[in-house]
Amino acid sequence: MAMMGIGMWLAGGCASTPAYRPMPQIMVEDKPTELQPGYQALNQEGQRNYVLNQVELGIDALQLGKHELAREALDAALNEIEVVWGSARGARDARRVWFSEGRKIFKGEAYERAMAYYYRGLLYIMANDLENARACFRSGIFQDAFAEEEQHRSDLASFYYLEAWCSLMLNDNVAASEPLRWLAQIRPDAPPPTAADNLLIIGESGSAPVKLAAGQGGAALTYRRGAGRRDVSVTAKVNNRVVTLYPAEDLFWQASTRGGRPIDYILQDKVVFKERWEAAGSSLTNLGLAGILIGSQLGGSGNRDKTMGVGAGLAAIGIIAGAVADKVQPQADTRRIRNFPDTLHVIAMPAEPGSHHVRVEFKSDAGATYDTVEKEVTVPAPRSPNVVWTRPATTIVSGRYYNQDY
Amino acid sequence: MIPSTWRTCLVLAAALPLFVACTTHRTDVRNEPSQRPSRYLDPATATPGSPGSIGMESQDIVSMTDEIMRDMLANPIINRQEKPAVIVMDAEYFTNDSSQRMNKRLIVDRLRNELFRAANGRLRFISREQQQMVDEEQAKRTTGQVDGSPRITFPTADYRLSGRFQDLRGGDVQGNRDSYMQVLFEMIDLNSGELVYSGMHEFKKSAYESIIYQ
Repeated sequence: MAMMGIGMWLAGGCASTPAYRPMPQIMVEDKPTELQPGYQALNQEGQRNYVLNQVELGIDALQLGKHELAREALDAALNEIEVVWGSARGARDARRVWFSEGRKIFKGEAYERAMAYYYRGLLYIMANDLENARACFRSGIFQDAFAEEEQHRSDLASFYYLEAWCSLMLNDNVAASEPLRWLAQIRPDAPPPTAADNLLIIGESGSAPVKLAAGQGGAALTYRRGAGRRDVSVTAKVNNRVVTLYPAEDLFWQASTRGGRPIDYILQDKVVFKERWEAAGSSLTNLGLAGILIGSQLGGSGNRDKTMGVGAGLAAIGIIAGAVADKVQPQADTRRIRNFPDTLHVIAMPAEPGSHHVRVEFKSDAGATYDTVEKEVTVPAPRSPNVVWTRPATTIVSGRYYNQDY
Repeated sequence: MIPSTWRTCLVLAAALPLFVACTTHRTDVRNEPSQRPSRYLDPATATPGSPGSIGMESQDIVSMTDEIMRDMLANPIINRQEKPAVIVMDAEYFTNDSSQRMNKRLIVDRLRNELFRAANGRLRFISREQQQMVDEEQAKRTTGQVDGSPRITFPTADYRLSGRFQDLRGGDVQGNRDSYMQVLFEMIDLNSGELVYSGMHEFKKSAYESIIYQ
């Protein structure tokens, strides 16, 4: 019975998360070649990494100009993010000592969820659906509303900027006034958009924050800035007029200033649990080995066997306790969405109807231009809104290294 | 009787496959294209077993449009006894001023359809969305491509729908999330600008987010 009990206890770790229905291979092969690894990852990793893979796919598709695929992927991710699962599914597992936090179905940290809304908002702007774009930026702000550190709640300046811009383009000055007020409060130096600024220019630079499992047992989630160049400025030249984009959002700062998460307390409890079992296992094993040693020195076969038997029993229990301690998984979840930028630069400016050549320059710390993106944008009518979205380089990450643990 | 040391070895040996099984767990994919056949669900009720969200769902749209439809039909100015009122009811002046992504035509189209069916000819509708289709046919008549003479005038509308969808989201660091939604429907008299109907549907939803996602 004891054996069965132990077996069942350990076997509890084998319970699986809910099933995901994979996309038929023929549909994967129908996707653009660059994105196929992303769809393969989606199939391979199932529900657990569904949001992660869909957001990465959405951003990759956006980079490739495949807006329909980007919309599909981001909508799928947001639908999952918006679901309130309560205590169901992998959520229950992630709280148990036998599973690491990474067992849970990924929905991303607050900054990741907000950024998923940001990209969907951009796509809505590109489709000239400013009401839904505004809704996305508002939802992004809401994701950031529950940080432990109160001063860092809902402090996404770029989202207020974009929300206000959408409202202004909708001729809704009343709705624009509130995000403009917040923008002025969070970033007094930010140039606020006006109703005349119908051309929005966005430059994204750097790479996404990296999550690290630090501290004892890897139970503390920490961040470091993404590798690569930390830009200092982005400028845009539109028909011989040069404007400097405002660095509205530092994503590393957003990720790292949120404060503790409620799950961190559970992870700390796991560490304590693990330490206690380790200590118990170590003590019992040592005691058992001492018993075996002492028993082997005793005279009389009866006493010797009894003492050695007890020692062996204690050592075995100690080994089991050690095995239990080994099974405890306090590690924080370090899965991350890898194709976010480090910094969002944004500016809105007036543009007359017609075709415009936009040249966006990304400048390094020393002030030298290290990359340039050139785009053509058309403003169909007076005050008609449009957006130019730029990145210095196209980096496709979805599905790459998907067979590694994040 | 088996010595205790052997018993211990047996315990460990029995547990070993379980350790191995647990550490080789890879994916959560069911390798089948479909796990259950499709089934019909009532859009007026929440999907059984679905976790749901605190946003607007199909049952909210159905109950809201049903309520507003009845309310509009009970309005003596719109549903007058003499000449049927001519109405434009599309999403052009229906604003999504909320924090929820939505296709507002889901609301307006259902409302128009319900109203159309319930009014049974007592109300007439003009489709501005399909005006281009009408223009193309008229152009063909004008150029003689098809039989019939072009119409010189088109009927104007008496009333047009406007509205606004707004929400207020809240919550706390303990994981409580709630959403108050307010949908306003108004009918504007296109002759005078007068507001001849105003109806509102409001509801609130709340949920508790799992601690691991807070």
